[in-house]
Amino acid sequence: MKNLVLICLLIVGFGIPSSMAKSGYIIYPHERVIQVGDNMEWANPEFDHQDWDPSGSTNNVGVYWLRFKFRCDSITDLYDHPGIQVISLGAYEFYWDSHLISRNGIVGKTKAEEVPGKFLTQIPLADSLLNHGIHTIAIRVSNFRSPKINNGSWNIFFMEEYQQSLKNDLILSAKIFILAGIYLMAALYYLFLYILRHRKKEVLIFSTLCFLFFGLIVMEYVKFLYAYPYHWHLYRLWIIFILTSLISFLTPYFLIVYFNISNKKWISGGIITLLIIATSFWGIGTDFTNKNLGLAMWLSSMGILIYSTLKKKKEALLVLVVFFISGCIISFYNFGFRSMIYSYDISLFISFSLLVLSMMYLLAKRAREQKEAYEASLLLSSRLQNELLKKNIQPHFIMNTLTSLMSWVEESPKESVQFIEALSGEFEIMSDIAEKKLIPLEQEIELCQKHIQIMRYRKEVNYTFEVKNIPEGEFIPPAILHTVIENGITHNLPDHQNRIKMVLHFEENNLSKIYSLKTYGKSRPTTHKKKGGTGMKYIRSRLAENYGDQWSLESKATEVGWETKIILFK
Amino acid sequence: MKILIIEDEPAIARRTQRLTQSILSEQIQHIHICHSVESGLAYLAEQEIDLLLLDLNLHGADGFSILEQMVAAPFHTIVISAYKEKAITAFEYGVLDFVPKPFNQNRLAKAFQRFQKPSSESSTETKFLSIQKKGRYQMMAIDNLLYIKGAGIYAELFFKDGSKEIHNKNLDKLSQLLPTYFDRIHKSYIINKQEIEEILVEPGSKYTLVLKGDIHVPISRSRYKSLREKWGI
Repeated sequence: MKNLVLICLLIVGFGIPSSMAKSGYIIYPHERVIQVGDNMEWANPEFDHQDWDPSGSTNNVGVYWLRFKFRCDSITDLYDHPGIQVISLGAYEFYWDSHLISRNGIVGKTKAEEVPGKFLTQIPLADSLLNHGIHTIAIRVSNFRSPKINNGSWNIFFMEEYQQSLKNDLILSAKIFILAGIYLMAALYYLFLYILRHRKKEVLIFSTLCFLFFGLIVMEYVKFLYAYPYHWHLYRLWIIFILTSLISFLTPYFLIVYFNISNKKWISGGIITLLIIATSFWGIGTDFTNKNLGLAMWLSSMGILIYSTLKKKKEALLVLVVFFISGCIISFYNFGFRSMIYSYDISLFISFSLLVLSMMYLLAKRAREQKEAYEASLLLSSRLQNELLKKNIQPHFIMNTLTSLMSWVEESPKESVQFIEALSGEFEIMSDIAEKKLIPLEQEIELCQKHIQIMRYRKEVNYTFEVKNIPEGEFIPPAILHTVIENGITHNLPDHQNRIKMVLHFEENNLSKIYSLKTYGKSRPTTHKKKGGTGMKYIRSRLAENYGDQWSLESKATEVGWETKIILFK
Repeated sequence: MKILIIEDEPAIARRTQRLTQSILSEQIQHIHICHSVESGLAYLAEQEIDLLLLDLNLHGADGFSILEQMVAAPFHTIVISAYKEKAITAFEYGVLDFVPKPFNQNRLAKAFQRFQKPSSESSTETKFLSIQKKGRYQMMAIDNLLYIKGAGIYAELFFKDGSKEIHNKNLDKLSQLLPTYFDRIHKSYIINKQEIEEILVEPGSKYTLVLKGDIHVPISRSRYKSLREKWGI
């Protein structure tokens, strides 16, 4: 029996686990009977086992016998060198018409006496044993080392060319291990990518998924490569179960993270609950449980993908289609031809590979988007830097200032010196902050004060700038308050006493930090019509650069003048 | 000569006033300063002037819509602005001169020279004439003009398509703004040279210019000779 693993998408299907369908002659379903106890007489073909247990397996730990009849006829003649492959959860002695023809380990009456045999063994059958007619096969088994959990013992027999099934299994394993190698490489590649470049959760999840899948394939096929003692078998099934569970959780979780679904915790909780329910029907380590896990995984992934598609998330529809096709492949092989053509396991691996490919595509797509966004942000950053520099060397500022200064020099050399000092002060701060994304609030306020000083000389309006409730240690993008002040100066006329008052107020609550700048003056009726002049655009770009979408900017007329509010959400 | 200075920076306005006074001295009857476009427009609604010295924020559409309004008026406009790169557009709108900031006395004096020259000998860049029509302003392309007829304090513009518009500037002021392919052929006429068909010489030394579309415009006797030399005919 084979447990399969995995994963995925299994929609259903409780048939005979397909891997049993070997090209050989399955002896398993013949009337086999079992009897707990030990009596060497039971090897004798003459013994009548009519009252033995017909179920063919036992939960007992100790020694038991298993018997069945086998007819040799023209079909068995077809084999050149027939042999029997035995899969057994116990050490055994194999009797053919009361001849001991093979032993696997040493059958003991106690645990100490028992030497555990291999899980998978091959027995050659001499031609002299195969005369046409009914033969009696009796196997004496001890299973003292069967793990306590999920205990029970079973034996399966295949008749074929001697070692042929072993060869078949090895060829299959070799092919499957190519796939495993790809997963290992993908896992390592994405792990390095995560460590060295993108510290993105989805990259790490994907790398983990590839590792898990690599592990799963290895655990699944290791039985053909290494003849381990029978009592390791259940441990192997447990490992497979754990790997399957992790994959069944991480696959939909990857989609949650990738498509940035809200309520991650609740949905993850839902998936885990679904997986627990899927586990509860059958024993841990059985094929049925693994299939149910796969089904749960598939259903939750489809749910997430359908939701994402409805929400018009990029690529969701494509991945939905791929997941759907994968599901179809599994159910087709599971129902349709059963595994007559391809092994059911292989269809699982193919389907899962499709999923992995689609996830890889998503990651590549995302990496490209990130690269583009990064390049755009570099571009934005340097553009903003330019804009900041240009602010103070653009003609309307510098030429007007210099023209005004000419007049001041002619009229009052003393005041013009102070004017020049204020101007150089503003230039100095500007060149200091030009390349920074964030600057101390104090520096920004100083910049505003210098600017106001300059404008006082230029416009000969009595500008005042008050600062209220300003905390220490705050940082903000450079020249945004400066820009608000500039706007305040351009868009307002002084009152009858030739004053314009500006007040910067800071407020902080649980959710946000609020900078509000109020200008007290008469607002110019004509200039307020257009929203989002270059100044406001500059502020918006700077806020977006630093705070993503966690900010808002309000600018509106008030009874006393104008108010601009910058809100930074926490 | 009455001059209005619109300039929102008092120091610059004072300096403009000082320099203007020292250049034009006695010719000035009155100089007035307004510190905003709004107050300037209010002043213009009440007072007649000969020359406007206008500081304009030419960044964006607002500045130019104000300029459209100013150049449609009877007086000449000289823009004094820091937006040097907008000079060409301002000339196309029909300003007499564009004085970039910062400026000195010489540059300002040059601008006033243009004001005092009867007609522009140097080529101008004017491409449009701004026309006030039902309270709105419309920019008419100059190369669609056929000829202009003086009518006292205003002028009548005749276009190739046969339409006629009134401009608030008189013929003398317009001739200072028009490009070299326009010529004054009569006390009351300016024509578009590119549109000439032929010159008719009639008995009694009567000269008539025929423009495309068979439009007849008189040439004054006194100007005929110099025009012939100028046009090489």
